[in-house]
Amino acid sequence: MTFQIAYLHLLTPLHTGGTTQEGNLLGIARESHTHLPYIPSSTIRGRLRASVADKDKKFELFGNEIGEGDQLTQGSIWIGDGSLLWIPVPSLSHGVVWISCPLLLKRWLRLTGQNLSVPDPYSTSLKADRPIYLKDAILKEGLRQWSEWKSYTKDPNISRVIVLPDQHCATLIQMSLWRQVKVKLSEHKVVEGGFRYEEAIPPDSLMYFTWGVTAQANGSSRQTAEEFQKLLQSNQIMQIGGQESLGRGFVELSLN
Amino acid sequence: MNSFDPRTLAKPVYESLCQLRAQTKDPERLKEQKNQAVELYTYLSTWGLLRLKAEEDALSQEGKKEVVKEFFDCLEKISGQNEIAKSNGLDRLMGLGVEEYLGLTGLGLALAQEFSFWATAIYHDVSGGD
Repeated sequence: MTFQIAYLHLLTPLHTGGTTQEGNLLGIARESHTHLPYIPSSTIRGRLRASVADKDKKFELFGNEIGEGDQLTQGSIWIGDGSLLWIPVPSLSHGVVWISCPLLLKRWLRLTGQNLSVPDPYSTSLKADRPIYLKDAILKEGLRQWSEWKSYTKDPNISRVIVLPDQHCATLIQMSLWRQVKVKLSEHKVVEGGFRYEEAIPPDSLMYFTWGVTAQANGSSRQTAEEFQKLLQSNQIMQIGGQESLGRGFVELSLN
Repeated sequence: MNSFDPRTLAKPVYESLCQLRAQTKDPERLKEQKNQAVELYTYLSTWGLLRLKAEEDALSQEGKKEVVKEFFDCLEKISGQNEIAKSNGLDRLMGLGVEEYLGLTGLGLALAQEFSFWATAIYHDVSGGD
């Protein structure tokens, strides 16, 4: 089984539809085993599917719909969940620093089949002999110069990176999510009720998803893959996830 | 042998909030309690444990203060980190190692989500808090 990879560069906050709405918080989808934010594959698939106007081509790639034909058929393309690769956190010393961790990098290396080693925690593209101020923390010691970092970023805009230990990265991601406080004002401009909060994956994050050809495309897999690649290329900028009318969810797609 | 108990986090939170609610008659104070309980998670994930502990002294509304106290009581009970619920809890948090503090923050976030959930259920008839 070969995995094809497509990258998503977040241009605006991405709200991925919460699995829970606890109290006054509109949360986002999280992986059940890591609790890290992710994009459900159905979100990406649904958006791409909707962009194919030709009905035959749509059914060939994504399968048909209930009420279309006698029975449901499988499409010739599968699409996986979107995973985080690099996420920006505020830094007093460097403006923004992108963080990742061995867990996320290992996953990405496995799925891309690259023969690169997993960097040690505290590997950084920044100067290792100078302190790095991350949100709430100053990292002074134990930083390691990392010269091969460019092979891991896939985005020319990401230049200041640091690999954190898994557990610290998870906490920092949790604390660096884009959060908006919302209030409802009465006609007299007085706050009605309490505050509401919404979470989102912050802009400038780099994510990726896997895709491939299903057994349905047996014999024509190359043609199907090319077809789907063309579809991805023609949707370089797309809007996925929730709160479309608030301009959320704009992502830039790239294949390498 | 320890058994896996999926109520480990929920039980102390449920008991704390039930008790707090039963002791309170003032409707305004109930509203404050509910608001604070549902907002614990967003406060904690934005500002961290230290600042939440500092809020405990800074909060002027008794209802809100009570919930923050209950939160640290529950956190102390579950984590076994002594004295973080006391008035000198801030010093105790300052003295923790980095790993311990981060671990406690992770536990605190999970606990805060429980507060959010149980507040909606226990204060279901109190309006203005959601």
